[in-house]
Amino acid sequence: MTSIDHDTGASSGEAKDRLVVATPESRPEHRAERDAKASRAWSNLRRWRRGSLVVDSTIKILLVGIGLAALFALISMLLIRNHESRRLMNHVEELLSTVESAARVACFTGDTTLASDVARGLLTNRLIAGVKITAGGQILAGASRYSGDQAGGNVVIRPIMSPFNAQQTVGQIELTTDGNYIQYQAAEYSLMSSMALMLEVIAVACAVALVIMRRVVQPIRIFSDRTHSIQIDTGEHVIAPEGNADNEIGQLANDFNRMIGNMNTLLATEQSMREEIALNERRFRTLVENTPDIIVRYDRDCRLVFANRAYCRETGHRVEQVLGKGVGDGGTWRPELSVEDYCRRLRRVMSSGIPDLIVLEWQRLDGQRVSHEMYVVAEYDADGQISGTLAIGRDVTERKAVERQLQHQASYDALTGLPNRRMFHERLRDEIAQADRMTRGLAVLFIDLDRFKEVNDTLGHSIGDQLLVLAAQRIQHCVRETDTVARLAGDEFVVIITDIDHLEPLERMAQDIVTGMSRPFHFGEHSAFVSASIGIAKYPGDADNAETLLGCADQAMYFAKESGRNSYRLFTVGMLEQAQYRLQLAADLREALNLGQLELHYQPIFAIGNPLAVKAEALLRWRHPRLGQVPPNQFIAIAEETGLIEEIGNWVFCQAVDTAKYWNAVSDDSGLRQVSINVSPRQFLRGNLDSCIDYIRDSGVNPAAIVIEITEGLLLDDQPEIHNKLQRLHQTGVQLALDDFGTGYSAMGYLKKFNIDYLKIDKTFIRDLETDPGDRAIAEAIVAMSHRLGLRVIAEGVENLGQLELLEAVGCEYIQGYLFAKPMPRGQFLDYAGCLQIKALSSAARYVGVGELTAVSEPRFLQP
Amino acid sequence: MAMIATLARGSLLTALLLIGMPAWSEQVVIVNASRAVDLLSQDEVVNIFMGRYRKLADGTIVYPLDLRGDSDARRNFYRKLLDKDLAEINAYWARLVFSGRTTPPAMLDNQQAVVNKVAADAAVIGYVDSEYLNSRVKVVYRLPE
Repeated sequence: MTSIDHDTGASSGEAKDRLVVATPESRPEHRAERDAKASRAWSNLRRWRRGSLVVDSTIKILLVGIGLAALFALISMLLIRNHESRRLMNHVEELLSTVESAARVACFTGDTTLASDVARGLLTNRLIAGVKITAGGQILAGASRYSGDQAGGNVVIRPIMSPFNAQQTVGQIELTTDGNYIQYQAAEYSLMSSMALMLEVIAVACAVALVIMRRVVQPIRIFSDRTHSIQIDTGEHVIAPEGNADNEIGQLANDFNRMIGNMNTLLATEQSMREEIALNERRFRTLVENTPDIIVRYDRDCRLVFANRAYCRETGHRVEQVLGKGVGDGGTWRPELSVEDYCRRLRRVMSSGIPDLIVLEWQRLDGQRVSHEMYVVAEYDADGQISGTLAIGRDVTERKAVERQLQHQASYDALTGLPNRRMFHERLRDEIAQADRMTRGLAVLFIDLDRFKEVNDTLGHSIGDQLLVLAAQRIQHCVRETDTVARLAGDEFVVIITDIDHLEPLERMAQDIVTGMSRPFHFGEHSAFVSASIGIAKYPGDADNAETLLGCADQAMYFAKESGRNSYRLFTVGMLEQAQYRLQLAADLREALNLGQLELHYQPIFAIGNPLAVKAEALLRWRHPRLGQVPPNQFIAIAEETGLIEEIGNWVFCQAVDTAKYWNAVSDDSGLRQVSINVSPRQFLRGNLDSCIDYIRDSGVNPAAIVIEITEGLLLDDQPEIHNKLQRLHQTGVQLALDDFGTGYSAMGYLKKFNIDYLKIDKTFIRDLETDPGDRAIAEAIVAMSHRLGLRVIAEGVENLGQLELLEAVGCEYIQGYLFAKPMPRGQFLDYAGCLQIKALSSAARYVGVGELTAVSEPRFLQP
Repeated sequence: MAMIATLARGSLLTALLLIGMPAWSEQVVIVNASRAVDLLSQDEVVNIFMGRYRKLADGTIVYPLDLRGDSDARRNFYRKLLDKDLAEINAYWARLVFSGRTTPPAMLDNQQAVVNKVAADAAVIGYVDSEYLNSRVKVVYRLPE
């Protein structure tokens, strides 16, 4: 308030208003009123301040008016004064003219009386100070207002003409004007005029000011007040001051309202835009904050300027810990990728603008290993300049784990955890390359478990798998850490022994493995026995590349197996030749049947105490055109491997059935002659049993004349299909013999289950029967057991009388072996079986009587 | 209107002149034949008759004689001499009479009386139509036609 008091100009009005406000008493009941007045006064004050235009314009108009008026007055004073002087002088002239005729007469006649009259008359006018009428050199009349010469006015001389002749001068009037009076008159007049003019101008100015105030300023102030009081945002409009609706102020109001309208529209648009932007912002923020992906933004200096919730959750840092800091500041960087490398890659994205994919792997605070794939893109500011980078990290932990697993699975064996075949080949190639660089040698051990299949078959696959795991461990224990142990397939293992130049340690390792494998494997109450056959090939001695090297080791292993298993063999060139030989055999075997190179031989079987052959075992022989007789153990395996066994088997079956029919037909006595046929497990499983049975029926042979010899392995699987087939054979009347009994598991249960008719004691037991009491015990046990089960026993490979005696002693029913006869072609056999009954008889007699036997003694063949 | 009036007057005047010419004879200013004066100028005639002075060139005083009333001769005389009508002449004399400085000419009833007076008195001067002339009078000025 104080400051307002000291204000000048317009605020004097405010001060006045304030005085009015300040006068009231301070009684409480008037307080409200006083406050109201005060606030009114305030608004008045403000209005005065605002309304200074009124005062301003009025004052200015008045000042200008007064100034103009003064100027006009000054000018007019000068003009009017001159004009008035001239006018007065004219007046004097006119005055003269009015008395001229009288003066003419007076001068014409020289009448002084008349002249005096004229002079007096003239003097009555205040303008005239003195008159002098002269005629013909004589003063007719002379009069003066003042004594002396103080008029100071002009002297007007008018010649007086004769009244009857205008050209004749008869005298003159000399008038002296009253200069002071004239001056005074003129001054007074001009002053009055000027004053009048001034007043006029002032009045006009006032009128103009008033009009402006009433017609312009007042409406503007009203308009202003209304604009102050309206609420723009509610769409309220200003009403033009009354009576001004159609003029410029009304137009101004309209324009203002239109502007408000536009402004409101703009504001509304802007508001909705802002809301939309805010909404979008929220949407994006929730998107960013709730995405499981990490979202981080780095500035140009690789400082973190934004991090979403996922980042904090994954890294275990709070936002304020990392915001504004460099990537690795404060030890917040955990991934295995170094901060420098990460920043380098961020900078590369910034410099090239090409997005990058960076995989970060680290251990979270909770200990879990996580992997994130950071997709890094450059970010641009409004000017198109790169302002930093945006990194979006997706949790690829599971994918990475799967990838690693797949990688592992692709390279490692799931069961044993050892490298698999693929990995092995890789390693082998790498090691060979390494060996080449170091000019050192390496070796490959090819390990195959013997009789693993039997473990699998008898104890189940689960135990089999456990055995493989243990076997893998045993192998690993036998080699150095740097050596690679891999599992190729099934029960095949392979070891790469690096950095080795001498055979001695190599062989020791192989022997260790063989020894280790031969120890029993225990699985709870079960135990299993396997052994290992190992082939060893050396680089660069045996082969010059990985594939060949493995092939050589495989070959050597094959030989280890061939030569009785449970041992190792070093590869030799001879093995390679043998392998090639086998390949050749396989190729030749394909054609052998068609070319008639195969033939069936029969080895007679005798019942003890009977000199006649009552049975015969059909044995396949291959007469190779170049190689001569090929041993069955060589080509039967090949036939099984190549699948030719089925075709050959069928042929053998038919041949044997025919022989059995013929033999029985030509036999004199009514005793049954049986031909036994070896059927391999593969043949038995795949072969067409129906066609065989049909063949027996069609041929009309007594089915009981046919004995099918199977091995224990076939029964071990206990497959319903096998059981079914055996059952059908049994129903047909065909008899069954179990071959090679004693060499396998010799399980007793299936003997009865599968309706086995004969057991054939393997020749390995017979061979040492006389010297080995264990073998004798086995033979004895087998026979005894067979008899209990109602089976009869055939002893194979009986070669001398001692064996015969022992077998007879334990109660063995049938004898087969060189002691009596070797296998022979069909014709020879039929001759032998039919014609040599005598010889047989004599032999038996001799055996029974003399104990001297002159049996043919030819090289002994392994029997299938 | 003024022009019409002037025209009317002009035409009337012309008519009068045309008609009256034979009737009007020449007007002359006469003095006693004994006077030494032979001829007066128009100014001298005017000065004497209008009261300015009454001396002739020879230093002698003369008194003008005028006709009484509105006679044609009087009217013609002032018309021809001063181009003024009688009212103006009367007004002139009225103003002077009031001041008393001079007097108007003595008035006679007719021209004959004038001639007679002039013939009889050498100190007067008068005007008459030329038909009134006689040997005792002498024409000193002939008024223009």
